[in-house]
Amino acid sequence: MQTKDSPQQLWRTQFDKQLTDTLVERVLKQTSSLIRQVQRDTPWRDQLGPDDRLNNILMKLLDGKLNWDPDRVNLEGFLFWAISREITHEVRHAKDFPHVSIDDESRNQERLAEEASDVLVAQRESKREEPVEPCWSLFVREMRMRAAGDVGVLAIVDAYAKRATTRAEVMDLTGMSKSAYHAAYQRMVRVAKKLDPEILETIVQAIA
Amino acid sequence: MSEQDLDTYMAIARAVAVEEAKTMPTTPDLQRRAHAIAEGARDRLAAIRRAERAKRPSNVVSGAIRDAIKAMSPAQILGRLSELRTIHPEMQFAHRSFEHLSDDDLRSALEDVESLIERGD
Repeated sequence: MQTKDSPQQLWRTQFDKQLTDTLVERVLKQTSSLIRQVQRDTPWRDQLGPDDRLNNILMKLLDGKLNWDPDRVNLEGFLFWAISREITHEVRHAKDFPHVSIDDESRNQERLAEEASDVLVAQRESKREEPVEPCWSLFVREMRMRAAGDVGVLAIVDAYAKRATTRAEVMDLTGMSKSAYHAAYQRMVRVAKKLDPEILETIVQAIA
Repeated sequence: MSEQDLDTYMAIARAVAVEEAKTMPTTPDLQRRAHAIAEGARDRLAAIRRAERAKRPSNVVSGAIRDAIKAMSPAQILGRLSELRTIHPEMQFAHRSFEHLSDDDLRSALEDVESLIERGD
């Protein structure tokens, strides 16, 4: 007589199958890129590094503090999403102040310092209780503006706003076919990558 | 609105990160770090399984298991059971996964299987 595997046995079996060194490498790369982007676009600063972040998530999963449904998302997608969720939480609670990137080597460091100082002075002088619009709101607004006319890209962005996280959820919400989703997703990534270096300027202009 | 924008921003950043990761070079240092993290997770899961097995009561009657099996570690027993399952695909095993069994139950399961094979059942 065969016994039916419990949900815990099922995800552990999938964990054994899917957890490879290559998968961990990919998640580390994805996390490095995410940290770089978020540090560039927001006041948040990473205090852990990709290795510790991934390790913490793995331990939480194994200790039962996180639930993974292998039928909904693969291990790679789940781990990266869980890391991103923790970073989102930290970003939300990061001190709200205008951020000027020091990573952009093409910008003169003295000029950057002047810009940062100007921004702070302008903010002080404005005497507004309410801080400027969050940088991520500016990013999303700019993203929508750049993608204007591209129904597919806007549909994906709208789905993200409705908390869709996986490809299946976005496709379900938008009614897009697999090929239409894939093409729109690639276009969205291109628009976002092009937007990145310009976001600082947008933020500084919006604050000033 | 700001919360919604943050979720949207993070989803877009994740998409960019996944695509960027595909073109990032793999270095020996990254491979070493990845291996260490994966090994750590595997070790942790093995320890959790051992602890769970140790907590479960045993149904084994003392003396019913041969000494060779008594001397085997849980990993060796699991390996042998897996081997027997491959050699004798026609056999019906009571459990598809043995991970939830205690060490004594694991030994008992292997004893049962070995006995069946020896008897030619």
